[in-house]
Amino acid sequence: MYTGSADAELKNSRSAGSTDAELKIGGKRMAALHLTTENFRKEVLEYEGVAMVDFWASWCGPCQMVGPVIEEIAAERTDVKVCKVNVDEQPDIAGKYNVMSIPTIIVFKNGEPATVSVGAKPKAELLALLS
Amino acid sequence: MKDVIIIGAGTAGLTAAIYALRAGKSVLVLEQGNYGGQIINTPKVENYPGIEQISGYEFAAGLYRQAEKLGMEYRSEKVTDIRLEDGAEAREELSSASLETGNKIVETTEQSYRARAVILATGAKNRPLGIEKEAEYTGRGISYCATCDGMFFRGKKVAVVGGGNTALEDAAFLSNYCEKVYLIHRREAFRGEEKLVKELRKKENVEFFLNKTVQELEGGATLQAVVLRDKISGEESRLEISGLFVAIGQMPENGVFAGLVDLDENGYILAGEDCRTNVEGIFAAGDCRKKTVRQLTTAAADGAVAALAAAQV
Ligand SMILES: Cc1cc2nc3c(=O)[nH]c(=O)nc-3n(C[C@H](O)[C@H](O)[C@H](O)COP(=O)(O)OP(=O)(O)OC[C@H]3O[C@@H](n4cnc5c(N)ncnc54)[C@H](O)[C@@H]3O)c2cc1C
Repeated sequence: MYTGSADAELKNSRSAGSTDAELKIGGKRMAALHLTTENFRKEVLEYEGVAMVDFWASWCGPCQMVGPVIEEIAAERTDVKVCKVNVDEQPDIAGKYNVMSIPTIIVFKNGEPATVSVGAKPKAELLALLS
Repeated sequence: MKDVIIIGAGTAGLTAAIYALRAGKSVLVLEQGNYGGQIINTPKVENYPGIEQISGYEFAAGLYRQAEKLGMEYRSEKVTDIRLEDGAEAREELSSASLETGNKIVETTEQSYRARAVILATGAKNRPLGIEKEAEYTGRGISYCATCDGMFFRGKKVAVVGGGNTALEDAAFLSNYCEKVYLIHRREAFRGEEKLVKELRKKENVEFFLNKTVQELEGGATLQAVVLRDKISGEESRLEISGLFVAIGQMPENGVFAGLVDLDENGYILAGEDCRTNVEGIFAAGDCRKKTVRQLTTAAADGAVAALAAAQV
């Protein structure tokens, strides 16, 4: 779970066996943040900036295709908060944003949904959603 | 310059890559979307010989890894044209007197490539209804994959369009979760199996709308209703639904090659079991080829046949 504290994050990730270098650049998080109804407001709606949210499920093939690309974007684009919502575990968030097909990727700007993309897209197209 | 350029990274394209690489050829695979092709949409494949059960994603990922290990070069680019290199171009490129002929130029959205042989493995995609606002409501009520998106319509009213086995199976699948399933078909009789039709008729929450076509889509942020037209009386009716599952078959995407290779009336590439097209050095493999059985096994078989023939070019 993302705590917002750099130390806690480092500790968590260390236990997962990764190295510090892989973890952070300039104190930003490097892996996509998993959202729940508890943290959605704080992490996305109240976030001043750009957040990219990937709605996915474990049984969805195209989502598995997009998953690693989302992680790459999380690692490379430290100016964007990259998040994931598991639609099986968080049906309320998916319902609120009319997610009816996955993967759906919604880019929020200052808490407002700005762009919606449905289906597995290659990296260049996902990056274009951010521009 | 590549020995073989493969267009499409589905089962046919990746199998062709494996065979061409093992034959010692240099291979470039060009894919417009993500690798894997159609099969990544299905959670369960149960008819690939030697594999009892596997998810479509795992199957595709395995193929990709295998080709990658053998040294496949892979690029995420959409092919927009193929042409035969003319003499002048060849001379410029080689800047020597030894003029090679028969090379192919493959143009993508990004750049162009040259190859001795090209394998077209562009597959097929779901056929859209072709009506207004369809793209707008895709993922907002319209779906082409019941097993992928069905769960978002639990307890809701949905419709399935189509008359083949896929439409019948989709309706049966959705009837387990949805309050109501309307099955819309433009004819009286179904193309799909009679057994499936009989099973559906027994289901209380499935209702048939025969001789009807979907005319219009209505809604706000999401789909709310469809307007149907009766093919016999011409009468229009409105059906309130939150999901519309389109299952009216597949179609190929070979339009950009039409100037060079011969296609049949439905757009499939005319090539026999030897995968040879009318153009020397250009092959067709998998669902994009005119054939009777479109499955993973036949796509893989074509991939092997096309690659071994391309290796001889
Ligand atoms: C939901 C579903 C379930 C299925 N279940 C089974 C099953 O259980 N068993 C079975 O045997 N078969 C199954 N099939 C059929 C099987 O998926 C196909 O027969 C197989 O995918 C065909 O492989 P292919 O490589 O010919 O084409 P595809 O898988 O369609 O791949 C073609 C690729 O080419 C790319 N492409 C197209 N045009 C271009 C271009 N211009 N430039 C670059 N790239 C391009 C596409 O993006 C795509 O990735 C199923 C199909 C679907 C849709």
